[in-house]
Amino acid sequence: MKKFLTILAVMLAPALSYGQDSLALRVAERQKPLMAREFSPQYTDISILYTPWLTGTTVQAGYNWAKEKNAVMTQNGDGLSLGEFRASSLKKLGDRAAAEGGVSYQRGVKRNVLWNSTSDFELLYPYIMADTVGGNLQKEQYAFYGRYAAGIGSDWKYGLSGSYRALHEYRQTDPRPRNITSDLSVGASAGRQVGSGHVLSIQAGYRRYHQLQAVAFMSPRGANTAEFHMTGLASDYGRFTGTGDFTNLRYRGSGFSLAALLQPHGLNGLSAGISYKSFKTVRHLANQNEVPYTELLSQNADAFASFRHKGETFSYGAILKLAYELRLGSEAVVPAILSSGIDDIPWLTRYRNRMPSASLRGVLQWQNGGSTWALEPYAGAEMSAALRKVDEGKMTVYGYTGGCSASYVAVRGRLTASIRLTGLYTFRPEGKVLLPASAEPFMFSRYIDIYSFFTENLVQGGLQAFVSWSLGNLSVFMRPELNLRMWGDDGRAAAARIDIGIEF
Amino acid sequence: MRRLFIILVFALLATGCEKNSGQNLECLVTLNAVVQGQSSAPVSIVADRTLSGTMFRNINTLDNYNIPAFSNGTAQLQVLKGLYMITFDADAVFADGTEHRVRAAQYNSPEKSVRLVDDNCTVTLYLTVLQ
Repeated sequence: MKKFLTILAVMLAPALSYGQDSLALRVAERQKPLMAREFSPQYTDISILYTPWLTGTTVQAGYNWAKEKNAVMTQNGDGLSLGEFRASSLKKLGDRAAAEGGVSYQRGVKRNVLWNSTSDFELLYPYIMADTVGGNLQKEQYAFYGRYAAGIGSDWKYGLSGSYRALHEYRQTDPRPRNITSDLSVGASAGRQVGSGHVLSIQAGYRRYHQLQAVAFMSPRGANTAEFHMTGLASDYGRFTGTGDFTNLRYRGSGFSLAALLQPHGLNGLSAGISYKSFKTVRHLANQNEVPYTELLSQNADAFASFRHKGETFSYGAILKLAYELRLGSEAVVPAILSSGIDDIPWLTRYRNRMPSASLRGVLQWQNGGSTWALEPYAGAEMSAALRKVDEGKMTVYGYTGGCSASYVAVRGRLTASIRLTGLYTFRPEGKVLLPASAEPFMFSRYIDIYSFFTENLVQGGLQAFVSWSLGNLSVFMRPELNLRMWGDDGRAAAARIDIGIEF
Repeated sequence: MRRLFIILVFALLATGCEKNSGQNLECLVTLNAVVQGQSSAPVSIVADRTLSGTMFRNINTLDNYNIPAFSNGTAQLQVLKGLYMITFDADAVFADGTEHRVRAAQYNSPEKSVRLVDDNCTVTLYLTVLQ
């Protein structure tokens, strides 16, 4: 904690000298949908040179609460109670350079995590360790990031970035996972003026990931479950099921990313970008000669095109996003004796999941004096087609989402307030499911539940509010948020969040 | 800049290419039975599936396969590539009409498992006559 506060103080020091004259304007502009970061994805670090309304420093404390009834994706729990502290600062250094930095700290509990003992479930599935009992999971996470971009001569730009995340999750009743994760990313970018009003930039990045996982059973009455080494679609690595010898795992991951971004100097104009990420994680038996036994290769390709026009009274914009994720899982033919022969392990690529998605979001914004109204229609489609070879396990699901957000931003003297209402409906037609006949009955029924969830139509509603009071060079804000989801006959979920902080 | 852009486009296209998409995950196993003390192979061998010790088991996934009936000392089955325990008691019928109880115990523990990781594998099982 002492290190964390020191880094925070160093990071905030330059921000305190930042010019304050446009604070109220920045605070108000940032609430308007047209300014949202999602309309200008920052594929490269050089993009921070062109973010006029996002400059400044924010320090905030927040609380997250969530509760699900009949939760299906219990790998992340059916509830959350999490405190959070965040600070970030973006500063323009003259006309030619900019720097951004941020820190965050989270501490809380994920409630009733089930069928998952591993941290970073979304990153590592299907190769996680799981049990049938679960329970509350304590979470503590630190994260830091920094970016710098500058110009060289009249045409060229360059940027550098780095981020680090440390996560600790644990439980103090059986089964007792203790997972320690570190996640480091670095990036470098270069850009050049194209034409008179655009910059084309590219970025290369590298990521290094490590998670050490240990699950212990300490009850004198014996273990209340076994740990299963899951391999996707109700399958598991049966040999390592148990409570002792094979519950210490290590995940080692590394990967690279490439991205290109075309963006205008100002707000108005066309932006476009493409990115590619490749990330491979190998799971090892940490206390069994570090034998590797599963390998997951995740590849992500994304592209977007957007345009914005900000007028005096009427502004509009749209963004089209396309994404494709491919997960390939390979499993080792592990020798009988783990102390020898591990250099000659054949690998079988058995798991595959293809996940394409597309979305289109628009924004129409009217401004009249200190009031701004906006509408944001949204349409999207997504699909997930998972396959497990030889076992003939399959699960294919689809989702088609449509909806709209409406928002209002008011600036009255020292007060800035906004409210945003969102409604989304997802039509999820019947897909396909076929599970291996060899699956254990309780795993079988679990996956049928998951399939049922992804084929039930989903209704989502959200309410976000923001109130800020300007005190000269400082503004104090509060941002409450409530999101509701309903599916099937009795699937219900609610999530709430509140942030209180200062901007300067 | 243009070259780098082209590299990125190719990297994106690479996402569509699946590593090992054509990999053959299965092994066609030919089992040849040799009964110790007998000059010729049995006409038929049928494993006794009622015994819990009868197994053709992948030692990693613990998936079990049915042991097929042998004809003239040979049988074939297709399995996931891997390491296997093969152990069974069976009734063997010989060309002269005699019938014997035989046992395959050569690969009867994980440490003695047989490695079946090629597209085609041949395994010779040396069977012991029990009675």
